[in-house]
Amino acid sequence: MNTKTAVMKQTHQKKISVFAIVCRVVLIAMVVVWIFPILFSLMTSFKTLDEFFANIWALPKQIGIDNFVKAFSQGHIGEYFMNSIIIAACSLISIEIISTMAAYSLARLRIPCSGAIIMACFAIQLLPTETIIIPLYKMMSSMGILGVKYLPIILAYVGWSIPGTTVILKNFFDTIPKELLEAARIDGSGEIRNLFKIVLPLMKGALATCIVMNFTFVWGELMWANTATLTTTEGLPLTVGLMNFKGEFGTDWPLLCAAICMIIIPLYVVFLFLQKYFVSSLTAGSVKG
Amino acid sequence: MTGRKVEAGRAGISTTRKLQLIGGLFSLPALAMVMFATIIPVVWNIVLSFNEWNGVTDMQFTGFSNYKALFADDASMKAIGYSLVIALIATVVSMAFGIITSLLIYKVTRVEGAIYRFVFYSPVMLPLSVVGLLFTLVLATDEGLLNNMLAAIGLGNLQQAWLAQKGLVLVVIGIVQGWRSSGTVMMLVYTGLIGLPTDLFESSKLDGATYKQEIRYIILPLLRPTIQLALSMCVMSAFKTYDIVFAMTGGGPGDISKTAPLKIIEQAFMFNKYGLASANSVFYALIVVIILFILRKGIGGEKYEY
Repeated sequence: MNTKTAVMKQTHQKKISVFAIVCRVVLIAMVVVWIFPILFSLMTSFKTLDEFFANIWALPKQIGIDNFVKAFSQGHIGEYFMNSIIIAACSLISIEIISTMAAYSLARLRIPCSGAIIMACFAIQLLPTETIIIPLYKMMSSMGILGVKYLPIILAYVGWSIPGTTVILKNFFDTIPKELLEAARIDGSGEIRNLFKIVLPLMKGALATCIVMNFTFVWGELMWANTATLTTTEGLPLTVGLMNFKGEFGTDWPLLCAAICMIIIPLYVVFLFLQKYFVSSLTAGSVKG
Repeated sequence: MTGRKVEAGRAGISTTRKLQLIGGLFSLPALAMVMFATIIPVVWNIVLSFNEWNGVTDMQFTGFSNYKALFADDASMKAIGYSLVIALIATVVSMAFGIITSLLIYKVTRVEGAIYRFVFYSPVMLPLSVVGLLFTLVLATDEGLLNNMLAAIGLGNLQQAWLAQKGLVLVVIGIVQGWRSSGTVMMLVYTGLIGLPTDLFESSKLDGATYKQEIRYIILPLLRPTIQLALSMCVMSAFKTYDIVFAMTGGGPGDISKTAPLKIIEQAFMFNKYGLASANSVFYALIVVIILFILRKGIGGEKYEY
């Protein structure tokens, strides 16, 4: 009896360990697939073009930063980076301020039919951008905004991001106890002060979530950025500039890799520290979908 | 006494009014921006689709002729078809990868799981266009990583011009797109998984259920709503077929990967056929919205309480 249970236990354990090994092998293989292209492009970015064509597997003879320098001097990547940062900063600040005010009024300022407005926000998000860009381009061109550096891109990003951000922030405001605000109101605190002095300190997490969500959109968007800058070479964001790279330099792979790395590596660093907010931005946008 | 009550009542009404007024004021900027950037363009787009317009002269109302032209135009229909193919493949790939990885990660230790999740989720935050460029390097015919790798392990006869063959190019783009968004599915399903009560698994362990059985009879049925949500998010991102296609092939070679968004932009800004382009985009949007609607409402099924 005793031995029997022991044997049973042993086989059971063996089974689990086999599964655990298979599980890890599959996972590690997938990790390799996931990060290999990135490591490879990092390696390639240090090579010269001749080295690359001679043997794509060989390690670079020396860690040269020529490609990175070239990406700055010939490829204007520094300029594109600055443009992207300006666009992202302006868009994010406007989105967060405007959405916070709208969400606050929807949640706590007794706006009629706020439920219907939230539904409308959801519906707007389902629309593909393709239905918007043609008239928007024409509107902006007839209003003369299109020629202004950065402005057409920022305006569109702000307008497109507000509904989703407002929904997330409204859900958050709903969790703040009404009594807190009522008490402040009785004490004679104005609404703007309520919002910025009482509510805002409580919502750092929610706001960070929204900022991360909006940032990934604004930083990576290509279709509108490309369309809005069709007639100009001024103020191109990084995504558009990167495409010019591919055209301008044909198949200078090491240079392209250097450019890709310069975009990817900072993103990975940011992601490493803010992973929590990336994940919560994913789940926050999807509650009650 | 009564006077004070009335006063209080009046004050109550006026606070509500006052708050509403402030609320209206607070939401005015948001309303203006959304009107400007979304609602007016969408309405105008629909109007435009019933008109003939070259962008310079006055619009001419032509009824449904743009739609007739659109349905008769082979290239436009093909472009929409390409988008659908890419979206379908991307959805299938990301759902499969996402669910499998989350189920595997659930079984490893905490620290390991955190590393795997970081790696698998990281492509989601990379811009689609950068992912596209990265994979042009992987998939290039002569100097591409994949072809060289195949040659190195003696499978040289499997080498392909991945981005230059009709049909294959769509499959490849779909897989890359799905690869990128599989992290979303993984994260959602994993979050659902760790939310399941552990006593369910304890009792199934006592009954001697294997992990496979647990997946089939406990995990998948209970996570049905989560998976459904992940599916509709996946489909939504899978229909964004501009960025990645533009970065990987630019719609070429020829027209073999020209998806609907690329076609719409070409019709509008290269050929100045704004009416046709609008009709095309309205039709495309209808397809996307209908599919999303079916996914959200159509496959309801029973939900389990636990």
